[in-house]
Amino acid sequence: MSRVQSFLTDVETGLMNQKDSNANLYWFRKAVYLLLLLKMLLVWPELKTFYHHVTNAQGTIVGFSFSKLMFLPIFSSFVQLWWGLACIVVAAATVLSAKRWLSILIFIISLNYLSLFYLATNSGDKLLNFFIFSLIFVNEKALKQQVSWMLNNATVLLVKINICAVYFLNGYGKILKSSWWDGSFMQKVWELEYYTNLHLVPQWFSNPTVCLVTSWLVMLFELGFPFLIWFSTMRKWLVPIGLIFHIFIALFLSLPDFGLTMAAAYLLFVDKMGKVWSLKNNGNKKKRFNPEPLP
Amino acid sequence: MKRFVIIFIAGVFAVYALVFLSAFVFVQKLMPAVLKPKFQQARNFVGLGTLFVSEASMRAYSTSYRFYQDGKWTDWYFLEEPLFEEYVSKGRLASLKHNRLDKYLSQKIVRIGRKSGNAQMMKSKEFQAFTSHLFYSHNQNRKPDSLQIIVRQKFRQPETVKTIFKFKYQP
Repeated sequence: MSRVQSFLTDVETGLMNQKDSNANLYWFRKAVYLLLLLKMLLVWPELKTFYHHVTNAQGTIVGFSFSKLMFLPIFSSFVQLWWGLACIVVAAATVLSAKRWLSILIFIISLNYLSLFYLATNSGDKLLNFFIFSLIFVNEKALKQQVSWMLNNATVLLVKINICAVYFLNGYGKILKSSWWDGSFMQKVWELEYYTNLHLVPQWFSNPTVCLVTSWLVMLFELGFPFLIWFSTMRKWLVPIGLIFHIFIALFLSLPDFGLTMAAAYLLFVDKMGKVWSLKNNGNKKKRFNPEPLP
Repeated sequence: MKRFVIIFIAGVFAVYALVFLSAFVFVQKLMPAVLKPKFQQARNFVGLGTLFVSEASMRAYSTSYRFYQDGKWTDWYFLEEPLFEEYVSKGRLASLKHNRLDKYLSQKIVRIGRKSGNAQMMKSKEFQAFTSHLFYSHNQNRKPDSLQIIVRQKFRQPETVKTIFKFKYQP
């Protein structure tokens, strides 16, 4: 029993002593909501197509479900209006300060987005949904020694671990394949139909030597990131390298939403977010993100 | 209150560790069958997936279709290519999502058709979903008198195509 108690005390101390993550969470929330808003606006032209497909494939929604709210018969005539209002809510949440009820509302909208585009989603859409879910537990105005401070740090830690887990699984999956060892898989990637953007990918990318080097760089990055990112000396190199990596994926492999979602997650790994905010606001709003503990 | 929150946080991390471990094949082999779909759902929820790892996902397919309506056959159309071209030339994300939907629906019926035969495939709900989407989105919501589909697999080196699936259907 005392072991459990001491474990729980260690966890509490660990989470309480974490550095302030309020500024990171502030920008992370803005980026995540902005990304959802962008996606919702950009896919709007195909809203009717997807709505028709889902309602046709699944039939009339009988039971109540938050993730299928927009498919309720009552909304079937107002889908465009529903989507428009949802966009306004997400836009408002991006601009306004964080409110728990608003975070829950955005999560419901995100669940509906996933239900609507479920056959056209990738890991990026699911990751974004998970980020939106995690933001429900966040309080950007948390003060040290408060329970919300612990919850903030636990949320940031979980999201960071999740990003590391995604990298590790991808790296592990690749290192098991001999076609990744000799670069032949990379050659196939550059020829992949409906993914590779041949307007942007230079021909020399398919050169066997370049593919071999790229394969190993990708595997080393994906397997190294989960372990090295926790050291501040490595972090300042890994964050820009990772951003470039995801911009490349977004542009060359037609996964713009995945690339941007990962880029948004990198905001949690940036060390000097609070300082950037303080400088930008001339110290006036500094207390909001770097609050002094109450006496 | 603080202790309760700590227990909750520790529990969440413990469950997350199990979800992460469930992604490994050797762990899946140890899991009871009834739990596998639950863990799959959990992995989907947290976005734990792999990209560019499966050899099967590297295969390229092209679907062509034509309708028989107004007493004649229309021209042959490609299903996936125009939408992807629209995305790369105009950056239209909606077209990319539509391309993904078309690709998924087409490949699903090919898999069913090749496994169970055309008759069984045409009875499946996946086929109903495919034709319903095709008529709604690619034929101005009009049911044709007949439909013909050809699915080809594309190869790069040497650049060839092989017909892997074709059928005619009268709605």
